[in-house]
Amino acid sequence: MSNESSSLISTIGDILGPFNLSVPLQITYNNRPVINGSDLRPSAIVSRPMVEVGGDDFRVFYTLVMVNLDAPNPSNPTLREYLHWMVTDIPATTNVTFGRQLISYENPRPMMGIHRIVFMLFRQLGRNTVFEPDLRHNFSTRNFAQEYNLSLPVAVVYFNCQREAGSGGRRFRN
Amino acid sequence: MWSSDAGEGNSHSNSSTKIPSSASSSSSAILFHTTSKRKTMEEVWKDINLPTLGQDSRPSTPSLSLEAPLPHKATAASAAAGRNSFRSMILQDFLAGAFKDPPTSSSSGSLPQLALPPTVLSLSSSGTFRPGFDYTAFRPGPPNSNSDSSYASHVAAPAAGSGGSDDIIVSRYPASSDLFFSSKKLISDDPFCISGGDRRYKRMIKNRESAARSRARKQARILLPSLS
Repeated sequence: MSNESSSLISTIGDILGPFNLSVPLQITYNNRPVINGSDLRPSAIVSRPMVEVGGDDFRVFYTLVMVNLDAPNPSNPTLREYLHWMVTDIPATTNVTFGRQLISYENPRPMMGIHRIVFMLFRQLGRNTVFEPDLRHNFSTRNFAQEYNLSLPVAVVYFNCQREAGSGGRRFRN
Repeated sequence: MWSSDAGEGNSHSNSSTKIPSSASSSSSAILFHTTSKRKTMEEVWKDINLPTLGQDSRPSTPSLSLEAPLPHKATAASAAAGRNSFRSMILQDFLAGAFKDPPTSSSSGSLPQLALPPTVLSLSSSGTFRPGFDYTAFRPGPPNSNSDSSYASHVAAPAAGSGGSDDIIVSRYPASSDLFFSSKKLISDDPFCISGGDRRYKRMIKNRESAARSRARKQARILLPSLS
């Protein structure tokens, strides 16, 4: 777990702040669970994924946030962060289908560079305490969490996404 | 490669026989292939040269000038650049010069005769810049006007003998030198050169950031070995 935390901090921690990883979170696209740092092309993430949330008490509610840290271009991320999906009031031990969608799923389609797409899970103080933001672009997860008393993310999953024909990033298995 | 060619070329034989001679004595196939390519271009160039000049343009002596006016200059050029590359420069420069100066110059009949030696000489000078030559004297004005006047003034120069050789160099030089100087001008006088440095700096910074991102991805991959 310490390895995971350190790698998360190095790659996305500068933007998304410190984490308090304590709840299991599994994101599944096309029956394949997403592994942190893996490479997914736009074709693989066209439809919303299945999201399963751990925990032990289904009276605890979580908010799921999906953002792109490198929109539109990692060298010039003027739209950072871009909000792709937001679901609130997800009961613990269930999945995203039990929640309430605030922002509909918009499949990422990066044009330039390799983008970091991040899922974060926040524990809500109570049910129906989180409200949708106005805009998708230039979203700030940190400020949003502070505004709705969500504290630090309790789970993080991220992957890299580039355009379908892109040839960036690693080429061989290390 | 060039030295071997020079060694075989020192026999005062026709250039057209050079290929067979080199082929017979070539030790490595690779050298032969490269030299044969050069020979081909040279052969074409010579075919162009020979009918117009009616002379053997074979640089048995180091001087490549067909009028034999400037052996010392050509010597320097050929010694420096090597015969084969020298010829290729001649061809390319001649073509470049041909675009700048349309063949319909004042001297029609003697133009071919004039064209070749000047280009030859200009190439030699472009290959090795003579320190004493005042390049700036020919910068202003379009090359056409310069060449026309020069050609007209030097129609009789070759006939005069070696005295006109210097003039030929001078006359023809703007055409090829213009090509060179224009490129130099772009580099030195272009106002964008200043912001070009800025752009280069920004590009370097962006490259470094991209490299840092790549290293971060790699580090994440190592810390969390992926199953994919």
